[in-house]
Order: sequence, then structure tokens, then C-alpha cells
Amino acid sequence: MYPRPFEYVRPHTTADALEAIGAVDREARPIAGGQSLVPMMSLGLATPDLLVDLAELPLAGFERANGTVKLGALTRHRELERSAELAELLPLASAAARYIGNPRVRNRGTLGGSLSHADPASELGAVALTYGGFAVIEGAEGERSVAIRDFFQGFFATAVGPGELLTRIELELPPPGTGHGFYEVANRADDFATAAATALVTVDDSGACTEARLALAGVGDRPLRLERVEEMCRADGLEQDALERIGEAVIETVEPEGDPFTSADYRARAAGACAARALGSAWRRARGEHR
Amino acid sequence: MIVELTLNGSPARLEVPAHWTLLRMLRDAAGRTDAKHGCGEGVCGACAVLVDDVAVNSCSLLAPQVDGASVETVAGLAREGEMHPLQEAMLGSGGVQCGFCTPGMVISAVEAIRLGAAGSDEEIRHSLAGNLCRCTGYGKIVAAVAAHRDGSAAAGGFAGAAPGGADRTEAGGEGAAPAPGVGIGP
Repeated sequence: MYPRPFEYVRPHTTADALEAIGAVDREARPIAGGQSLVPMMSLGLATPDLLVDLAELPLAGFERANGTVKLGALTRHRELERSAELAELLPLASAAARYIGNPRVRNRGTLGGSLSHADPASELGAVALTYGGFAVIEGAEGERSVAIRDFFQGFFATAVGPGELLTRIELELPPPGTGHGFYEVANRADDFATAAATALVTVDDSGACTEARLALAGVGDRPLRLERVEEMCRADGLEQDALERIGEAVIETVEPEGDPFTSADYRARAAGACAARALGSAWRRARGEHR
Repeated sequence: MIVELTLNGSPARLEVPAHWTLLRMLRDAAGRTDAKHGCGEGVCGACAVLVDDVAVNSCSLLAPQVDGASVETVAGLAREGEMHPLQEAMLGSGGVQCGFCTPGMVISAVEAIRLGAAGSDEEIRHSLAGNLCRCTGYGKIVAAVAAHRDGSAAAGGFAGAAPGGADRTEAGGEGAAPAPGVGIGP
């Protein structure tokens, strides 16, 4: 019920933090909001010898630059949820952030922590994959950028290597005429997603779909983009009958695991419903039919 | 290690091992047992406290992470022996039964009202997500928060509490928009 003993340091520079987490003689873990790590330590699922608290590093906040929004790794979920400016720039991120954990978790949890933890049910993983862009990873050798589509590498696995830190992500701003949609099914209000869908749909002046993006959380070992379904949207549009075919296509495409509370079949059907509803609301927003 | 903080308005200097959680420090080093140890893994909300006016689950923070911070437990909300109006509203609406979840509920609700995130029953329920009650049910707790928000300490006792309030299965999209312009700094 309580974490095992460990040593704790709170460095003031990224260089000092990298040196500390690069320790080879013991298990060092970075800690940001700690909303996954501390419970895992209390449950005995994580037993680091050294915790490197990132709280003092200048990695919070966001800025718009060259068609992207740069988001510092220490940006908290609560800021994604409540910042009016972010809601304007990245409305899909704001909509999804309301479904992360619960308000206490969102008050502490960070974007970089969530993406690095890479829980396959994470809403933010699907959000990042839908916008696309780059993850910026810093290590002893300096900084490198990894396309977000290559960032998630499996169950709780990412492109962040030993001794490295995710320091920011750069999300691509979608073109004008784009609407967003989010839908999640969970057993309880603050529970992990059974399935969640994130969507961006862009329309031209006539209201026809020119681009659609769809990502799912909770139905694979990592967040998934469904490009075949995106192609269906471009080809067939997103009226109700098309959305029903899209939902069926999602159910056929995903191969989720079941658990004692949720069968694989139910999870796949939930994913189909989430996808259709997220795409439908993105489509209606893009066409100005609702906000 | 030494953790220096402001605890319920007074300076405190506590010597605790670095691996203690904030909850353990509050209960076992500072004697503040009004922060309850429920699940210990960030699920039940019974241990919620305010850290620099932001509600957190104290089981999911480490003691050294609050060095230099101001921490407020539910007992810190009372002023000169007078309960906080939300605590009065919880009594008035019958939102208290065994009392174990109450400290966390009150902390979460106080923050929700301050952030303008308690405008409707739906918003109150969203704000109290992650605060579990296993006895009185949520209807009367939601009624108490609404009564406090509306400036009346009592919602008419048990008889006047809102009906319903069964556990809600969450299946939804973007829902109600949060109040604009309210941000929380890093």
C-alpha cells in the first residue's frame, strides 16, 4: 500500500535531470505528475531506486509556431482541459482531456508523462496520433525528433530510450474547415476507456469531406490510426448510412483483447460506435452544423 | 528528509523518509487524520487535499513534492470553529452517512465551485468523479454542493434532497464546455 524506499532528487536543469536518469548502476525513473507512477509504486508494480522529479524543469506551457502547436512535456491535463486558448487551437485535445482520470488526476498529470507511460487506453495518445507531428526527445547526445506515428511502439513502450526524456510534442494544426469529434465508452465516469475515438474531418467549400483522420484508444497495444476507414470517409462522405458502414468496418478491423469486465467483442463494438459518433460530430462541426 | 510546508495556514517542518506519500506524512507525521486512507492508489478520492489551492489525491503525491507548498486538509476549511458553508450544506442535505468519503468530497467540491465547474448537477457530477461514496449515495451529495453554490446551507434536510442520483455509466462525447478563461498554471 506504500511505495518501497527510494532516493529522491529534484534537479533544476534538463542536463542534470538527464545525467540523473542516465544512472547505469540502479533503476532511475523520471517523475512528473506521478499520477500513474506513484500508484504503480504503491501497488509494487514499479520499484525504482531513484526518482528524478522533473518539477523544476522549464518544460511547461505551449506556443503556436509555423503551423504547429508546441506543447511542453510538463503541460498538465487540467490546462489542456481548461485553457480557452488551447481549446481554440487544439479543440480535440481539450475535449479528450476531460475524460482523463478524474479532476484530481488531471490537476497533477502531465502530457509528457501520459505519452511516455503509453497506456494503450490513453486518450492523449489517440489525440497526438490524430493531429500528427513530432515528439522531441532529449538525451545525453542532444535532441532528436520522432514522428508521432513512430512514437508508440507497443504495450507501454515508446521511442523514448533509456536515459532519455520526452521534452515536448509539436502537433500539426489542421487546415481551416476542420471539425473535431471525441467519443468514449467507459464502465465508470473516471475509469479507463473501454474504447475511445478521436476524429478530425476537413471539408471543402461545398461541404464535401476532403480529409478524415480517426484514431482509437483502448483496442490495441497502442493508439491506432485507421487509414482504411479514413479512406472510406473521403470516398463516401459521413452521412448516417455511411457512418453505419464505417462503424461496421471498425468492428471488423480492430482486434482488441477482452478482460474479466469487458469481452473482446463488446470492446470492438464500443470502438465501432465511438468511431462513428466521433467522426459524425467532427463532420457536423466542419460543416458548421454544431459547435 | 525535512519537508517544510504551510499546513492549514500554519508553518510546519516535518521529518519524513523521502519515499513517504503526502497522505502518509499528513496522517503519521502531522497527525492530520482528516485526510482518509482509502484505496491508496488514486481511485477513491478519500485522501483529497488542496496543494496550493489545487485539489489532489494525497496518496498519489510524494512528501518531497510538497516541500515549500501550502497544503490544506478539510479541517483547514473551518474558520474559528465554524464549519465551512459546504460542510453545513452536506449536513443539511443529508450528504453524510459514515463520513469516510466526506473530507475528499468537500475538498473536490470546494475546488469545483471556485473554478465555476459546478453550474449544473451534470457538472457537479463530473467534478466529483473519482470521489467514491459507498453508503449515502451521490444524490444528496450533489444536492449539498448545489445548495452551497446557490447560497443556502440547507437543502431541506433528508426530505428535501434531490431524488435519484444512481451511479451513472459514463458514455459520452465532449459534454458541457468548461468555463472559458479559467486556467491553471504549471
